[in-house]
Amino acid sequence: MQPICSELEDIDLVGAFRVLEDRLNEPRSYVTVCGETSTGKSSIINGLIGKPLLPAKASPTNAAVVHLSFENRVTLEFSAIDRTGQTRIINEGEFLHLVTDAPAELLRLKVLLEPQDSELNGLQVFDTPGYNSVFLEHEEVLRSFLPESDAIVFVTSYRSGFGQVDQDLLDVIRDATSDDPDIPVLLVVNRVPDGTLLEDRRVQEMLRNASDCLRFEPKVFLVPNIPHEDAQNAPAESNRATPKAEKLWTSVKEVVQDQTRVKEVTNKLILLLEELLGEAESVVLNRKLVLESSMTTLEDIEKQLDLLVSAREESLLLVKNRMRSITDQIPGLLDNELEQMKNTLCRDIDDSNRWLGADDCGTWITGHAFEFEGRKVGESLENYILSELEGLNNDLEGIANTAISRILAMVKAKNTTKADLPKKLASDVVQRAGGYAVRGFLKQLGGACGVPAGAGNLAKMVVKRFGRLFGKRFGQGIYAKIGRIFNKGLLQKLSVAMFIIIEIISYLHHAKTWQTKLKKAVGKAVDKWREEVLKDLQNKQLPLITEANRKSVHAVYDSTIRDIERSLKTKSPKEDLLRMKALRMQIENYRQCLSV
Amino acid sequence: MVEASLREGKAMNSNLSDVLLDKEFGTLLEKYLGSKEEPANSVSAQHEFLAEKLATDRFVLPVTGVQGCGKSTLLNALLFDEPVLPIDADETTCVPVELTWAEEPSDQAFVKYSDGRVDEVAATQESLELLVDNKKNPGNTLGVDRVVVESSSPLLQEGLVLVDLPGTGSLTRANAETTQQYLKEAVGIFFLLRTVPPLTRSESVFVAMNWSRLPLAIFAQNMWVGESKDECDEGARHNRLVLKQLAEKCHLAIDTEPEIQVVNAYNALKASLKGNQSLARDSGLDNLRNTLSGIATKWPEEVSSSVSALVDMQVNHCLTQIKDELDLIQADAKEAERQLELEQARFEEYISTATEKCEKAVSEISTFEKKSLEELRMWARDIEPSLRNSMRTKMRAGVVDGPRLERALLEEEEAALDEVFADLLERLFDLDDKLRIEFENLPDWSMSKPESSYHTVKKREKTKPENLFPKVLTAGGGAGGAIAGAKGGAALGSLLGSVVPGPGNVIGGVVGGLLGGLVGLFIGGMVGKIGKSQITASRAKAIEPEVFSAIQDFVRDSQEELRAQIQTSAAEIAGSIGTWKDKQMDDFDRERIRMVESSNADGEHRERKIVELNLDLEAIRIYANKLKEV
Repeated sequence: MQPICSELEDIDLVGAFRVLEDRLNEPRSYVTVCGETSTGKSSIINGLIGKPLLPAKASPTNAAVVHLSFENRVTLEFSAIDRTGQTRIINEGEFLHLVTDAPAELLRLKVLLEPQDSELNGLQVFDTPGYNSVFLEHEEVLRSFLPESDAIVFVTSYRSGFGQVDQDLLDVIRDATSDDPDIPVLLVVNRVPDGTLLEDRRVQEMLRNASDCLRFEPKVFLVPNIPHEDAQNAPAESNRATPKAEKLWTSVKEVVQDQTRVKEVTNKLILLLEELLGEAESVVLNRKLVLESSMTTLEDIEKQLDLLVSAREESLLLVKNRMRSITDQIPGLLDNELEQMKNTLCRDIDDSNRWLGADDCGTWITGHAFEFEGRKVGESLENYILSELEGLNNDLEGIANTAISRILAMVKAKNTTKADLPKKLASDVVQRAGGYAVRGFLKQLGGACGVPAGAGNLAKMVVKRFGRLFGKRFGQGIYAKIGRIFNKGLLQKLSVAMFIIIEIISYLHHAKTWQTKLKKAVGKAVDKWREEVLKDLQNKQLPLITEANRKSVHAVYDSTIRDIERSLKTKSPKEDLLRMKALRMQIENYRQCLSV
Repeated sequence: MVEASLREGKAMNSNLSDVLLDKEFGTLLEKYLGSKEEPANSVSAQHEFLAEKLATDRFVLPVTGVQGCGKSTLLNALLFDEPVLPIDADETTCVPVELTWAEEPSDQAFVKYSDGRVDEVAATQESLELLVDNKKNPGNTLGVDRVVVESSSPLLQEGLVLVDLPGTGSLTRANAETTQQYLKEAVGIFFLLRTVPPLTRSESVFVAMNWSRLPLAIFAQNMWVGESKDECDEGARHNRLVLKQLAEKCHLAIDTEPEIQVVNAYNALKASLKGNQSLARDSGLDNLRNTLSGIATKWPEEVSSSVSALVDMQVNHCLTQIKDELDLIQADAKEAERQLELEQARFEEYISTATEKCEKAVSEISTFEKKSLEELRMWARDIEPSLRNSMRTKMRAGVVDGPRLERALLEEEEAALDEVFADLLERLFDLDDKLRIEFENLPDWSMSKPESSYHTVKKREKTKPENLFPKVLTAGGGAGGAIAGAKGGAALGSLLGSVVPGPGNVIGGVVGGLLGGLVGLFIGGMVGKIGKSQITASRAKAIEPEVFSAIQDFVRDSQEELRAQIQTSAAEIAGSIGTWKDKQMDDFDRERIRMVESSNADGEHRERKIVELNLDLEAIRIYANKLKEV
């Protein structure tokens, strides 16, 4: 396939093919391990490695992911990948140092090691940083790994039970994998006392809570307590016993090697390759049609090209203006909403019993009302943005339609029989706007945190997320997703802002003053939240949405425009034409290979 | 000028009523148009119903808006020389206030309590506040059902009654039934929007439901003090966009962009207090007043012209039928036989088209039912764990006090219901739209007038005749349970369908009735009734089972209620289609029997029949002339 792509001078296509072919040739399974800090995640993984490679105590702020890559016939090798994508080979000492104390620029640590058990060949395990809801960054890292996993191992601790952080983390897992709810989640209850059975009340309680988060009952694995870990004087790293979790890892193996799953993945990869072939063929066909045109029709082609170019420019301008106007409107909207929020909360405080209500009212505000009202504000902002974006989509669709109908009208007016190219142009635009922009999507993939795209779910994701770029499906699917994530971000900032209220709660004992104090704190918290929300929206979310929209516009028009331009400029049309014909044959051959 | 035309309008109505209530007229029409099966839908019954519509001189227009949108301020500006409605209570109004006309308004307001007591208090902000403000009358413990305040504003003189309804987002559902009654009675609805923020989900549901079932919707946007003109324009643009999207989503056919009148309630009030004319103009008060008074004066006229159009149609239909019968009876035997055969063939063709359409419609309905039930199941499956988790979070955070926890749960449950409600509503609108398209251009069976234009239903048009009977559409409601509401609504809807012919109208009537039931359900607050459980314990661990079982009850009960609602809806709509089809067959059979009788009649019998037909023809012509005069 390489020659076809390079002949077409299409970098995106080359990249996309390479990713897919790699995955097909070298099947891999991806397992993500996550859990709250100090649940003993690392020691569970050490159990898989068979020796205490990972230190147990990583600092909770450490956001580096450790990637364990099991490959037959390799020697132990450590490397560090930084945020720019640079990879550096390091030694074990350095590795141990970086794992416990990761600098900000470190993105990922990778360990290449030989599996104890040859069945584990090709297994990729990701040890994610200990989750703590205060650190938003962790969540972003998680979100990029989870959807690409073949299995997720979720570690909890028997001792601390199932807490809010566990619940939040599982919510993130469910949310991030909502495109593929079949990804198995294995629940590990770590450090259970000897003799604990599955029927244990605490275990059952944890299972119920986890099931409520996931909406299905995960398989549970009990991993016993290691006496050493409890001791005051922890033994030296190298002597530390690794917890036995054979059952867990056997189950993981079964899950990732499940034949139907593997097959499903392969089929989807092939399907994707076929889509890409279609893309390549379309490029060839465009260029062939241009090259075959006579001088008189070339003029028309130039005009049609102009129509497409100006449709693109018009679309980009529209995106820019509309997004700017949304950005301008947000502060006023937010202020109004927050005013309402303050009023509601203050009313709750006023309505509380002045003599006896202080404690009760404080927890009411922090435990429910602040979050509940904040959620309403978030929903309102989201509603506003979504309906504006829906309007924008409609208008973009309108521009594309106008361009297409003009192109087709030219054909009609001329009454020429040589209408192949214009019809092809029109159908290209419609198709792209209708959701066949595979390349545009694949291009984005490499982006997020430089995650090596996971095998099966990559394919699933692409297929599922096609969505129309413009129009309702895109509006409701992708934008709803943007909305959810954005709203989630707002809520997390909300809980940070709420600390202002929590801090003063213990000082609320004077019957005369507590209401005033609490209201003041609420006001302050709301103001702080406002600041955070605005910053997030203006500096991050809205630019992201703008960029996504710009990308959609480019995805619809760019390659078609470029193909025609390139063909118009050629100096040796005859040779080019021959080459294109040859390419078509090659594509056909490749396609036949695939179908076998 | 206005008064003169109005008096004329009312006089006209009374003459029209006279004709309608003339028993002989009804019997006469019944003879040719009536159906034996349903005496409740007899022509006389229909006429009584229409006469009742004509007699109405009270046009209720509820004013709704989100909490704190400036409703009370605006109403004060519109109706009073000095503020009577408590403005501060705007955010927390918990009792509907009816504003009605009196030549010399009392300085007392009439307070009606739910237990039937009636009382009077001074019609001032201070004393009203004690009754309608949730802060002063928390949860409406006083049990006030409604407050009626009189105004001498010319705006209300023609029978327009404005009602200040509690905000749609209000948690106080104590007055749900009264609110519902007003909405049943309503001829239209007046929504007051804010510049920003946009409508919330439950507000959208409320707007969509009422917008679709009431012929008249007025949207105004209250410009806040301190809002610049740019902000305001931008807000209006966005609100229009949202309303348009809402209309599209719900398949409401609106020909133009929804109009939003911009007012500045604060300045409007200032203008009316100080008699400042230029401020009244600039604040948008004048424009709004004009719109409202236009409605007040036009309403009786529209009712009567629509009623007379319907009666005209009946009369014409009857006349042609008699004439056809006369032709047949006077033709020779061969010609008569040929006529009958032709008629039979035409009917067979008609009924096969109708049957095909009905079958398609029934399959659409069953798809609706299946999909809605599936969606409901998915909602229930998802919402229960989600509510449990959300309550776990609250309890972990220390919210363990019984009443507090209960309120938190209610709030969460309400938000959860909004979601499933909006989806169900969208599906119902979608079904209605599909059925209307299916039956487009299919008239009722009629021997002589297959092309009658009144029979065809195009899209949802603002001027469709059923719009004139909003009361029919809004009957039912949540008070007596969802199903009763839906059934009641559907029953009245089908009565409407029988008054205004055409399958589209029958369906429209039934769907409208069901919507009425849904509105009732929505306003009545399923949550309040369903989610009620006594949460008493005050330690998290002890309370958890109670909370969880309350959640379980809530999900089970609301799923049951909604399932019943969906099934009833589907059954009622399908039933109405079946009934409609049966009626067409009946009508044809009846015609045929009479025709066969007529063509077979001979000798003296035949002569008598001809005389009778001619007499009836003459009598109906006299009524037709009477109708023309009025």
